[in-house]
Amino acid sequence: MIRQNLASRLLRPTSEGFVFLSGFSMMVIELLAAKITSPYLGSSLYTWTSVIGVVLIGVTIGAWAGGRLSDRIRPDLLVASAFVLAGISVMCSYGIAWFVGTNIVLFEWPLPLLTFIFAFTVFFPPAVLLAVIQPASVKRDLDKLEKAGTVYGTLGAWNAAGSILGTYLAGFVFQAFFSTRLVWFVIAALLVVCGIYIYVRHRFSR
Amino acid sequence: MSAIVFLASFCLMLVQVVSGRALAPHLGVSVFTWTAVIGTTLLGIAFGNAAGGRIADMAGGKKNLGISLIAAAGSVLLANYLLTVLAGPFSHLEMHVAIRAVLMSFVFFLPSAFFLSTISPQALKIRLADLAHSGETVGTLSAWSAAGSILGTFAGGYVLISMIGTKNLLTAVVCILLVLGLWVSKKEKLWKTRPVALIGLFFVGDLFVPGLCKMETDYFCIRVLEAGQGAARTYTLRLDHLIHSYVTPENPTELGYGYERVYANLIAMRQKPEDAFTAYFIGGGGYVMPRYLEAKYPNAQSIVAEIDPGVTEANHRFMEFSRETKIQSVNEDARIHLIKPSQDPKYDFAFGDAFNDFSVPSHLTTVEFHQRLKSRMSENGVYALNIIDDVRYGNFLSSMIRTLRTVWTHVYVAPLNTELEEGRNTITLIATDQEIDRESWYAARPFAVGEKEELTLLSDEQVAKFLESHRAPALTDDFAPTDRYLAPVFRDAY
Repeated sequence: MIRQNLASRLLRPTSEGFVFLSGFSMMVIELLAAKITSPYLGSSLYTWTSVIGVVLIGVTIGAWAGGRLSDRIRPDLLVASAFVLAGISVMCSYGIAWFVGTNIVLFEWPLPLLTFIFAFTVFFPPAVLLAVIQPASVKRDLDKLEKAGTVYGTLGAWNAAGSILGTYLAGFVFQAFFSTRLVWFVIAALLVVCGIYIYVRHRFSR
Repeated sequence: MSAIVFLASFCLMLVQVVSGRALAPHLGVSVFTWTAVIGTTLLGIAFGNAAGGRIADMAGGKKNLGISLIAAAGSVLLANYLLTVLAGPFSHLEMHVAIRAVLMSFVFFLPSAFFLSTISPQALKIRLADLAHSGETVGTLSAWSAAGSILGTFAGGYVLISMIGTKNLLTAVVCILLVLGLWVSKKEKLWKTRPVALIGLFFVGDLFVPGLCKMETDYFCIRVLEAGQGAARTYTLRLDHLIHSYVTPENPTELGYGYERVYANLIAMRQKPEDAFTAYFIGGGGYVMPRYLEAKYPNAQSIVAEIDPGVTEANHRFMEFSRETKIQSVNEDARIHLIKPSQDPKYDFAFGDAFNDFSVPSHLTTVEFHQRLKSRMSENGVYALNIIDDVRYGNFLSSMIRTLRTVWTHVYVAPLNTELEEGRNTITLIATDQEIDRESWYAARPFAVGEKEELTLLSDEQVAKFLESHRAPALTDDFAPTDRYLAPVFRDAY
């Protein structure tokens, strides 16, 4: 009985879980981005700056759009579709990286511009989609105005916790022991599966 | 409130970008440094957001927001001081480079990240008026926060570091936060309190603490040391943590490093002084080998791919590298330079010297990179590169030999210490399709080599035996864990 309880609790989709997963995958993608970029554009402060900057632009627009959308769409549904779409866009971005990377260096443009364009075309879509998750999750949990600071702060912390785990795992473990492609597609699959799972639970929970 | 959130995030990302650069003189730049820095920032955000949320619900208001901003200013200021005082002693601690990186970034930058992250929940609380539009408010403030982060990242990475340097940048951040904090809580007259006065005092003091670097570029903290008088004067070039080269301008045949003498031997074996040939250098540093070629092989053409224009400039400005030189510098990552279509003649020699300290740019180690390089070399061209490894723990040497063997027929190993198992060693690898005759290797008379015994080439049997006991695979773009292979070697590097 207790065991069943624990299992169902662990498997219940929670806002903390959503923001944790979105933070986690966002940072794994950000850290691996350097490995994906370097065969085409080398590795320098410019590649890092571009990747971090583009991810942040994605987060800005995603958070803004996510906030708007979650005042209109049911947050569960929004989160589920954002995860699925993010997973798909991560898969596609591997191919986009190859296409853009092999062609872009032929232009005689300054390096900061090249790295920005590359980072934008490859890493922007997943970043936007993953950033929708956080405001939607805040909306999902927020029922009283007095609790706003705590809810916002707590979910922010869970998101950051996921990001931290993602950063350290990607930097210290994944890139040391696994091929970039493998990690990339496992993350993509994870996102799609979680999205579908959230949708299914949402659909049949009432 | 939007503006405050914007500025707090702007400063946080400036601090993040700066901390990567500020730690580089002590840690080098590797995946370890960046991971530690990003991880620290996120950890600060996690705790800062949580704490900020609690503060907001319990005692939200402009006073505490102001205090938080001032605390953030204080912590950045503290980081600036600690960096000057503590970073040196830290370098002497014996520990794994990953742990050292995490530790240093915690001590220096975790407080700043924490305090800066307490801002946005407090601002949200002040701004949040009704529940029906909470999504929109949260979204809008998050967006402002992210916009600040973006501007901070790009401004820091692209413009500010190379313009005013890391130290001044941190000082500017302190200034912004302090003013903002005092302004937000202006009704409370916080500037009359003692802690604020103290911060102000330290802030003034901070303006007089000298910076560390001779030149700060987007890539390196460049330091140049001068020693000796007259014709014997030498310059020591330090890029971040690494002593990259020793330059003796009056006597370019004075080759300070063993691997440079190996390169010289290789050239002497293949070419006579009057021959015309082309040499390609991956990484410029102090331009030691190109200067050697220019002095002793007048018909040779040198092309140097040095990623950092600042390094080339430092050579001209501080290390007597003539601006009239016929050595050609391309300030580009070698990988990009080799991908682009080019009018360069085919290279007869290529020399690798881009591996910096703890950071081996893994995209310059892979099979794909070397195939690209080979396609730009003449038929019997020779590629030589030096690496540092300790084969008792490290796997870099064996994986590098296998990588080169996938691309070239012959790979020769010239270690400075012939007893490979004895410890940390500098090893030159020579890859070519044309067999090297050992007799002519030992008979070669370069202009520089004093001690011939240094320049041993291992026999094929020795190499085969070594590879049997070291099984690291060839490096590819998809899987090049150079940092893992080298981590045990970094540990002993101090």
